[in-house]
Amino acid sequence: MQRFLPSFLLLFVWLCTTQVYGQLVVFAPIDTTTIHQLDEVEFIQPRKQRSAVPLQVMDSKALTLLNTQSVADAIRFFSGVQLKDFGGVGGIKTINIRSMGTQQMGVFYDGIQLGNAQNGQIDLGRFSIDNLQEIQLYNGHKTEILQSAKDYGAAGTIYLATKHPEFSQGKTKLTATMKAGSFGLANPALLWQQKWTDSIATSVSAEYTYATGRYHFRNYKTAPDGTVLYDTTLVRENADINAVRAEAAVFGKLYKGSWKAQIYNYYSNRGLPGYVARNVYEHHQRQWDDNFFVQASYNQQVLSFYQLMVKAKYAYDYTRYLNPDTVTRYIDNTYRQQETYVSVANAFTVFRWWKLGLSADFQWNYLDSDVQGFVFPTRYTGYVSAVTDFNWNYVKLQASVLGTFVHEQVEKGVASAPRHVFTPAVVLSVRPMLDKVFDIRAFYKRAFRMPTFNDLYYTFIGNASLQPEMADQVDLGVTYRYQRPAQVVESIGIQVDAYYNYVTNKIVSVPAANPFRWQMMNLGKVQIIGADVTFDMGFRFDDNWSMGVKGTYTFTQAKDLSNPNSPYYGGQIAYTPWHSASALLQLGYKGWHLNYSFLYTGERYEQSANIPVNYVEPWYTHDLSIGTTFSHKQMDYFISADINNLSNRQYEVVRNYPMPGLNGKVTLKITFNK
Amino acid sequence: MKKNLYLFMLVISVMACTPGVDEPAGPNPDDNPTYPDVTADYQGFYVLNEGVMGANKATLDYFEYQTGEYQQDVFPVRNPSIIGQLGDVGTGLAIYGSKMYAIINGSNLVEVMDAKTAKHLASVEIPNVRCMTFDGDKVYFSSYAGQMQMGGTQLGYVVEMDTTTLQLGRSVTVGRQPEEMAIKDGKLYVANSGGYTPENYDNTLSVIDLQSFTEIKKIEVAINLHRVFLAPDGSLYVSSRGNYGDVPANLYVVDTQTEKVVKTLGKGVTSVALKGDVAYVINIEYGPATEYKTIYDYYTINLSTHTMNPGSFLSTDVQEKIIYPYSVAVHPTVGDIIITDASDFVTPGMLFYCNADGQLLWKHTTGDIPGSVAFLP
Repeated sequence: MQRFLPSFLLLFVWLCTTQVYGQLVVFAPIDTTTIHQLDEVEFIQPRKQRSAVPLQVMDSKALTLLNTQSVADAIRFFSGVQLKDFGGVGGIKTINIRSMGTQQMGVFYDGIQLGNAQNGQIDLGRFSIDNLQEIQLYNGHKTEILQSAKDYGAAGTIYLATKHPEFSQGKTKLTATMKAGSFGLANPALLWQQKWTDSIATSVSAEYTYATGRYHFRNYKTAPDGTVLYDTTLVRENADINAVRAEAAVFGKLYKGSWKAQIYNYYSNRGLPGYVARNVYEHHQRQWDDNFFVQASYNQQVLSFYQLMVKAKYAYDYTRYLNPDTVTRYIDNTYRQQETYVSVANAFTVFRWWKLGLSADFQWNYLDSDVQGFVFPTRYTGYVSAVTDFNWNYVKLQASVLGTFVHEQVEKGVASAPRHVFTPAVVLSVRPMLDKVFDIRAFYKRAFRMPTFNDLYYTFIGNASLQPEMADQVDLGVTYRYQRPAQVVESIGIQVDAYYNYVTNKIVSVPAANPFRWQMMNLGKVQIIGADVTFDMGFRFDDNWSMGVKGTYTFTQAKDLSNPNSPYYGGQIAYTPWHSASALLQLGYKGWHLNYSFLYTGERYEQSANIPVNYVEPWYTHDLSIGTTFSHKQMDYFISADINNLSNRQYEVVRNYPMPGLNGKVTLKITFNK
Repeated sequence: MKKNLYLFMLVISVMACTPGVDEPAGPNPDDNPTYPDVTADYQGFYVLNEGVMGANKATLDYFEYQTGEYQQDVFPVRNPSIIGQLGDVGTGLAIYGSKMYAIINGSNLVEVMDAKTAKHLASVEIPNVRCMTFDGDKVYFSSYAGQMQMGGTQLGYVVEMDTTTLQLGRSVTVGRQPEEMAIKDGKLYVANSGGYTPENYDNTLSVIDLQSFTEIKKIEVAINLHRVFLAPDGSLYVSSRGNYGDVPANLYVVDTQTEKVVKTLGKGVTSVALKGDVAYVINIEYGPATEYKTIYDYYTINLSTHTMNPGSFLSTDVQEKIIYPYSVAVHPTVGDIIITDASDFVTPGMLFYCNADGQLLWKHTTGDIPGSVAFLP
């Protein structure tokens, strides 16, 4: 590698000396958003960049107006995602994209992936929208040239970008937010953004979340003929949360480059409300978490044809799980994870229409625990990606390959064998008419996920011989966008995708050789056929009135093909609705806004055995929010009142985990500019 | 339309003649004239399905010999007012006198029903209740949820209940994570597993004097004890689950006079049913941890000679149909054999009803994880 790189660079210098560089955008920038001054209906946001893979974006303004508690709640308005929600403010919320499983998702925080080598899941309920600039959801991976090798890794990718300080005038921006509402929620937050010099700015953000998590729910059962067998109201207990998020970042501008360094800590102490069963209406399990990381990135246009990006991260994650309950089993376990990550990404412009990227990442993970029989695993992972990108007027074609090299060590027992996996991807986008934003897109991508430390080494259930879980995706779609400022119909956007995914070697837990000891096995196979549709329209009636609508629809058929001998072979996999949809309507009048949102999740089953006893009812919720923004002297004010689940719908996303009925919250945000 | 129906019937009959699909899919007494003999002693049997923990899917199925009807999930229909239905994780079922007792482990209770109607009589709260055994007008339950010891380990206990008043009475602390029990000569023998601490399993059988209801002795047998049953000659059989690794499962014979292990049979017991001096045993051999390969064994023990009989009690063609044999039951008079198949534990199981020679008579879909069978006199 070391010997190879300099000669590789020389080759490019030679190849490129007669070319013209610098122009990054090849297509006419017709699809960049036209920014209106004080436009209230930026809420339903057109895509800013052209993406060759399906991309959905929600920006800071949209997030503010949607005013959800967490990132997980906001992502429900994207198509093609299923949220697993255990209910309440502190309940775990994970995202599953296109039915490939939560662990096939990559979640990036300011460009660097959030890791969880222990169980591979990122709880998106923990990320508040308070300090977020934007959420992007890619099916497959982002198709920039200058990106880390890990950006190519996941089957689906979410990017959370924190607020970047922007100063139209002045040097100081101080924002204080207070939210309060149902479930005993008290949620103050502070954001201080400061410009020190023209090239250095800082951002400090802190947030505290407290909630009792208590809410009433109906516990009822109807007979197959529809008669009510019993119907009682209970209170959700042990769902309290105390959480503190604190982060700080320094932003630096350089000549043809930039850098950023940040530090993050999230602490929480929460009750785990658990399932509701006969005579089990309260659990006592608790969990303490501390997620800490420091990370930095540096980005430089080194030569006219060569761009460099370097990233580094260190993360420390602490989890303590306590079951103080002497009725079930007393458990008090602590887990400590560490991760170190470095990445070097290079992008080369060979010709105006041909770019190359070469990236290499290295990651170290270690897990420590006081669990009996723990093996203390260490994982070393090397990632190397190469990409070639052709960008002609009508056609954009990108092909990439990611090599992942995993080596593990354990202090006791047998470590998993080294794994070398190569995963390719090809992305094609065609724009038949240069003057119209109408793109026909297609991609093929192979992705995999490594078994987690729990899968491999957890006492008894772990299985060190597990293979990586593979996911193949084929997607075909179109994007259309119409943009006419100063018209009543300002914008129309349509995005339709059809896809086929095939997941093999899926890691599932089975009672392998003993009903008392389950074990992880590569036994699952899932075939997924689906379609995602998003539609949006923006209206501007006059200088005061505006309106935006957005709708999404998702069709999913996800067949469990694990066991051809099973009578339930081919059944829809657990908790995957065939149909789901969302709708947003936003009305703006001067500084006022009124939001209405609707979510629908169709019928589904809690197991691949699609039989009546496993049937889970469809649900839908209506949410309403009204608010105003205004400025007075140096202060900007945002006041909002939200009512969620207006019809007091009693529903469950996960069986026996009741969701809240009617609930509300008020928000006051004051920004001081100087 | 009618033509299609004939064609359909033709296809079905052709299919019925094809080897491999010819076993009846469900009970059909008309085709099996051996059934009416059975009804003389027993009206039918109940099946308790466990359901995975947290699913609140313990269900009760009932089969009636007279009608040949297999009814699934009868509890909520017969007890519509019980909140939460049968509950979470149903691990034990027994009929004693006119009552039926269902252990609902995850719901921390014992559901007592009228045996004939499966109507709710009482639900008795016992935290983490595991197993039960009967003696006279008393029933004894073992529970994991006893005293906490220094260092975080927990002792189990046994509690007595009157079968008439359904009131809990005396209780006694035993070893760690107690499982099955048996009563002989005024003494209650309890298998202590210690299953919560795999690095330090319990290895004793607690002996409880029923008169004073105190633990009078602990007999060392082997680690991780589980099943306990009595032979007609009064010998006590105690099974060990081993450590699921290098220590294999085993079965021991304890002489209740000397209270010493007198014999080791060398095989494990996943589930057992008794009829006269024969014990019918399902044994699941624990294969290497890295292979999804399980060896099932269906053997019988002569409880008079304390030796294992050669061969299997189940015909090979039935064995091949079973995915995960979870429990065995034997008709107390006729000797018909029931095997419940837990399949993959997350989809419905299957019940295989065989004659005394182990030949399949019929099979029927059950609830999730069928684990216990009780015959209704």
